[in-house]
Amino acid sequence: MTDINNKLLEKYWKGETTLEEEKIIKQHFASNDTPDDNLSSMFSFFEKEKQITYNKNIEFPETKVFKINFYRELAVAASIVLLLGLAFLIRKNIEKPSQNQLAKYEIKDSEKAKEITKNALAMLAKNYNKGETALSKNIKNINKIDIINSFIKNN
Amino acid sequence: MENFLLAYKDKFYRFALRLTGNSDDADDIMQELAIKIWKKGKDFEKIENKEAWCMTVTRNLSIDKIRSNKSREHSNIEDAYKVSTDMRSPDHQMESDDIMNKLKKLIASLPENYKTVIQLREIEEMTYKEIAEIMNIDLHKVKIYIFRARKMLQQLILDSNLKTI
Repeated sequence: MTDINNKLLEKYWKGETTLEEEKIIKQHFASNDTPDDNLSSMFSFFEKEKQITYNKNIEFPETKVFKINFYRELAVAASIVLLLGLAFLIRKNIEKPSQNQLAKYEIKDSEKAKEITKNALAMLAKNYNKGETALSKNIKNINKIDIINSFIKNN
Repeated sequence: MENFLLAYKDKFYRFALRLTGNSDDADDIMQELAIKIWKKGKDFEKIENKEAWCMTVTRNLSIDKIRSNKSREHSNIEDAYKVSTDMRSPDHQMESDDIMNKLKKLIASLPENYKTVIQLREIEEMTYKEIAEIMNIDLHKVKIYIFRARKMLQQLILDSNLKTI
């Protein structure tokens, strides 16, 4: 082996050789009958390792393709639009009146407001009395029914 | 995506095979690598160095396999290697094959990091920069690993004396 190769080999073991220099070393050991059989075997092993190939099939998972049914998608989209429209209309109709809308019913004359309130309370009292009279009348009727029922049972 | 894997499959397979020392495990790793690439989808195209990315994935899958495979001690590393064309005499070839198998076992006995750098540098002829990227370490560390791996292999070869084992 030449001095250059010895130096190269020294660099190789230290991990300081470039890829090009390593090629020179490998070629040297591969082509010549070198005194070092072990090194020659090692480099020829590396060369043979490069020949290993992979010949089996590599299977990629199948890609799922979603077919779009145009009419079905259109029907779904139309339904959504319809529902949104209905929701909007319903919401609009049940919206609470604003302060501005209520303001037009407001009575600014205190005397008139007092009069209206009095009338409203009188009407309430009258209706209340009516209800009370009707209620006592109905209670009397129920009592009558109870008497009739007990009479039937006894006879 | 598929074309890329087909173009580099031999390299990825050799790497998985050398790290696991078992052709069945290497087969599994090739399939798992394909799934990993597929799962990346369009993002795979955005990867700057696809080869380094795949080598890193192959290495990680191999390490996982080694850890989980309890029967790896019985791995048939002989089947990983087939001499293609050889015009030497049968006796000479048998002796040569024997030496190659012994070398394979010696390399298989190296620590994982050393095995990786030997495979990437000596067989795949990658630069230190590429090895650093695959192993996710700095260049200085790559140099140290290569130095130590070569020294350890040299010592193993000297101790075993290939011609006489």
